[in-house]
Amino acid sequence: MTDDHSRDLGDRLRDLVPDPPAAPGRAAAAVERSRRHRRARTTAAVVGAAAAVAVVVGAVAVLPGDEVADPVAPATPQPTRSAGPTEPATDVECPDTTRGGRQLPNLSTSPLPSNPVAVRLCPISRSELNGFPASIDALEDGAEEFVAALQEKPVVEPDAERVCSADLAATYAFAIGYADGTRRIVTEEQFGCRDLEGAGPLRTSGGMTAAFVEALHDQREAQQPPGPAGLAPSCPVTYPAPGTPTYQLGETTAAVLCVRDPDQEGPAPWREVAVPADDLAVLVNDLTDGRYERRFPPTCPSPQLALVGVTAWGDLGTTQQNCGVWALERGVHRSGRAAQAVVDRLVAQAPSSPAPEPTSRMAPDEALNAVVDLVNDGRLDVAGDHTSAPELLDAGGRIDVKTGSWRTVPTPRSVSAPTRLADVELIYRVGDGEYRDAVARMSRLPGQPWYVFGIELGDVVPTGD
Amino acid sequence: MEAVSAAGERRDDVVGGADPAAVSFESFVAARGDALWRSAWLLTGDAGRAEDLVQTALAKAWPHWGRIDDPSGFEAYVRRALFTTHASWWRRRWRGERPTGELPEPAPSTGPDADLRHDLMAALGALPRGQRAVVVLRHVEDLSERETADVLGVSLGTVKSQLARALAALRRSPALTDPEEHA
Repeated sequence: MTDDHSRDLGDRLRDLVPDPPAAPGRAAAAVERSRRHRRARTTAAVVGAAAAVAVVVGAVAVLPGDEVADPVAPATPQPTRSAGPTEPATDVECPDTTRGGRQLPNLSTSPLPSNPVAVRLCPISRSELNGFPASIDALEDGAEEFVAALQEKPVVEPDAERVCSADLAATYAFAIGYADGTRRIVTEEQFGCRDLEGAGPLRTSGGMTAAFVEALHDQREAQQPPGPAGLAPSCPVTYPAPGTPTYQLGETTAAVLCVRDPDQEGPAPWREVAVPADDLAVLVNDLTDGRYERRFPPTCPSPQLALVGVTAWGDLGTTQQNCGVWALERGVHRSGRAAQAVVDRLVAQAPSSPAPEPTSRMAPDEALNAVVDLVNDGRLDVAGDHTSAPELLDAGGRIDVKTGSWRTVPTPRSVSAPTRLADVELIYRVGDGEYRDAVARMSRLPGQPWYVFGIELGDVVPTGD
Repeated sequence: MEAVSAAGERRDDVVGGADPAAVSFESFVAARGDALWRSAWLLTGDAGRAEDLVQTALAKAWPHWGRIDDPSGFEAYVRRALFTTHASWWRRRWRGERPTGELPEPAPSTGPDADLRHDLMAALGALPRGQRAVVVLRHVEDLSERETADVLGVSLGTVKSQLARALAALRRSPALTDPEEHA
């Protein structure tokens, strides 16, 4: 196609277009649409804030007709309806399925009513692996289409033979709210058979969570973030850490960097350092610059990192760094120079590694020193797994010891055969007190670390003071 | 053209009143709304959906009114919202939208070249949405390839490849066949 024909194409395409209809209210309609989104956001924010102070008295949704009533007390209080029964509901809350909360209600097999006012993506937190903080905002723009799409998913024939891979991943819930205040819950498996329950008969799904995420992001484009969400980032308890599916790294407003060394035995605790705002901007810009590595690094020389961030929408997400590269949705990313400098500085600022626990490979004197370090770190709960000696646990964390030689001790007949015993000579002092000779009585079972079952204090050691 | 209060907060209680910012937004829509609608029609092929697309794009852009000093900059923002919204409509599979060989609402086709117009509409409607967006931006909006890439949020290479495929497909339309190629 020549340049002339390219120009001709434009002319012909323009000729195709009919005359636009008169639209005198176009601007006002657009403004109203934008305002409606903002009102919805404000309502959601107010409800979220109220949740922190209000007392929830079991509110039970009453569903019309043959719908299965949702007996779940809402995780957050319903909006106050003091304005009167004529004011329609504009939001929906997640069911309380967090630990200690109730289980999901029986999911309805009736068709979903039309005209929902809002849809919210919720966790089904039967374990910490599946839980995540729900976003502040619910989907309103496109809620009707979303609900219709749920009911268009294929129905599973009752006698169908189904072979699914192991159900390892999370199941999420969609809380669907209606103007009369009622709620329906639909769940979608993220793996396995990808069952979709609660939208009429059992269906197979796949993709509805992703579709919800995309629709909510579209809705957010017309809104301003509601501001600080009252959600503080912290290093994960479980790892990989759960995150809000709607989390977008580029919208992170606060974050902590979590650091742990790769060569420690077992799951080492994270060392957490807050990321200042300026540093966060550098990191986020770097992580969202669209650059990806071609290959995953073959070696892992660096500590394991996790950037745990929250957004003004109340989303939480974790971005992992292993082997020096960040794991992003589209590939692995290596920090640029400026971002790497920030990472290096933050890692250096992270608290020092906590004292290691005694291990089965430690000699008696090493195990004793490890226990003393745990006590002096204030980790008495951990130290208590390795000693019952009051000279250690009750010393107020100000123990000074210098271990000397150690020797195994014959096991008395009264002690069960596999147990080994040892004595460790040491000099012991608490705080500014006197130094004293002492002997630590140690024992161990096969494959276990040495255990300090007693400290026998001896004479005061002259220091010449 | 300031839509931000002294406290730095947007004033959303002014449209329809005498606030100059609101008037300016309405003026902008009055001046450029039809042009946006024409692009939306070429993307959707339907007058109603075109209007919905324009209003959605305007609603998305409105919170930014007053933060962009240059009206042409605001129009670029709206245009980007329009095309990306259209792309997201496509990605939302629940709408059940699929590429189609026929635009659902053909423009009036009378006159000697009615068949050619119909062929062109069918060819345009058969294009994947990304290709259709590139064609509209390049050949109707007269944007450069770089500007097209910026609007769609894709790479320059993607624009070039999509445009090449789109033109190859359109070239097969009798409406755009170069008579000299058959000479």
